[in-house]
Amino acid sequence: MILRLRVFWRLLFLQTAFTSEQMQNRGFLYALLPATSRFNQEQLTEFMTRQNRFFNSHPWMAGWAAGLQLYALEHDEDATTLKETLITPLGAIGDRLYWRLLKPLSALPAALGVLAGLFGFTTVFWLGLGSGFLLLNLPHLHMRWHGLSRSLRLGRESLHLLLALRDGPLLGKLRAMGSILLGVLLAWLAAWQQSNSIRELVLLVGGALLYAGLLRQKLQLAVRLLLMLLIATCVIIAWPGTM
Amino acid sequence: MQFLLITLLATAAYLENSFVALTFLLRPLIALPLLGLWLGDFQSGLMLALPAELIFIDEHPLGGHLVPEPAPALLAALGGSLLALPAGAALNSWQQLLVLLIGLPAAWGFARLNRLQLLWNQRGDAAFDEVCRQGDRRGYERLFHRVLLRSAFAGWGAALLVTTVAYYLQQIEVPQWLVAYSAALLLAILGICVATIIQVFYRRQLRLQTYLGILAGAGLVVVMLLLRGDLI
Repeated sequence: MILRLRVFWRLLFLQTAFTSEQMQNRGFLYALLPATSRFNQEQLTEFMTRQNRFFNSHPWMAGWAAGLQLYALEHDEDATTLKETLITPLGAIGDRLYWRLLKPLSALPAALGVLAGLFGFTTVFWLGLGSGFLLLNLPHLHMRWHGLSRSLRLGRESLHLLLALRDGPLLGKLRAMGSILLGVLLAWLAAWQQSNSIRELVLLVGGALLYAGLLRQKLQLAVRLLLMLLIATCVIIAWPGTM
Repeated sequence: MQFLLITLLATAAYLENSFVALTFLLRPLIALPLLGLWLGDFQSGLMLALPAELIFIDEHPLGGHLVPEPAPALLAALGGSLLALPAGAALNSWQQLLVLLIGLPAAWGFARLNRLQLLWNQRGDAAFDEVCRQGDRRGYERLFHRVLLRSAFAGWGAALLVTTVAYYLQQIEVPQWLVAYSAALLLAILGICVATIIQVFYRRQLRLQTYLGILAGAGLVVVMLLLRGDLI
């Protein structure tokens, strides 16, 4: 348990000595070092030389790989190839789950809270901020601990749990939730602007259009002209004194 | 004293968002309103939190890609700006815009700093390899702690720079028309944020849910306006 806690704590520093050659491996080896406290010098040298190789994954999913390495240490197996094999699935699942989904998703309630604060509702502000923070951190801390402890206990069997995470219904549900929250945010933004004046709403839309035009650079000429016309209209309407 | 605390906070945000933990306690959406609350300008903190977070919401550190760091940059810029004001005063819209004008390039600057850290780490690679070859556990941990400390110092230096720049730039007097226009520009920037976040989710083609959400949001707004007494 103490070992697990120490590895968990050190895995927080996974990205510290990030290099383009070994990527996260410096931090990964640093996290594994507490497990070697009972090694003699020869074993330690052998272990550190063997582990001194490329590793990269999602920072929150690295617990699975670390747990498997510790399991192999306990049971005297060679898990060096397993470490390499895990790089791609851990990175892919983690990136999709956290960067592409959970990070924007958790930003939405916090953004709603901030808008409520601009409306003057302090309680809703704290609620939104807190729920956004928890929405990101409870799953991520759970995943760090869960990945480490499950793979430490079950060894290679734990990989089934990892795959279930990828194929399960969780992702779809979270996405639907994100879309609904996005709708709420849009309605709220519009209402916040509407309560001030129509000019500001127009500016908001103009900024969005400008950005969309910048992003989609391979637009057809007609579409681009239309976008420019729309932006120009926005600028004219929003010019101080016209409305 | 407050100056020092603000730079330390920005350093913590820098470390937290790129090297250590990644709990996002110090991400701009959460940290900026709290900083505003601390320094006595809650509204500016709220107003700047949305662009600071949402404009970079689509930047993911996938596969070692270095992303802009809005948290330390905006924390330092807002902190420095609020210190430049007389106590208890709030930022006007030009000053808010100036925070963004300093903070957004500084966010990319922090990404460049990360690239620099990568080069420094690369230079220290041989030492790490040597320690691994000798099986020197203590030596490895010492090297690792040194890297952490160096990152912290680099981040602190950058935060100090941004805070100082914001502190001095905020003292320049500007004409009144600029203040009027910057309110409009802030809104346009907010529009860009909205476009970014729509782009993140709308690509997934869950249109029905988004419309449902708009309906729910409209209902919520009506309830809030009723509560505040604006409609009756």
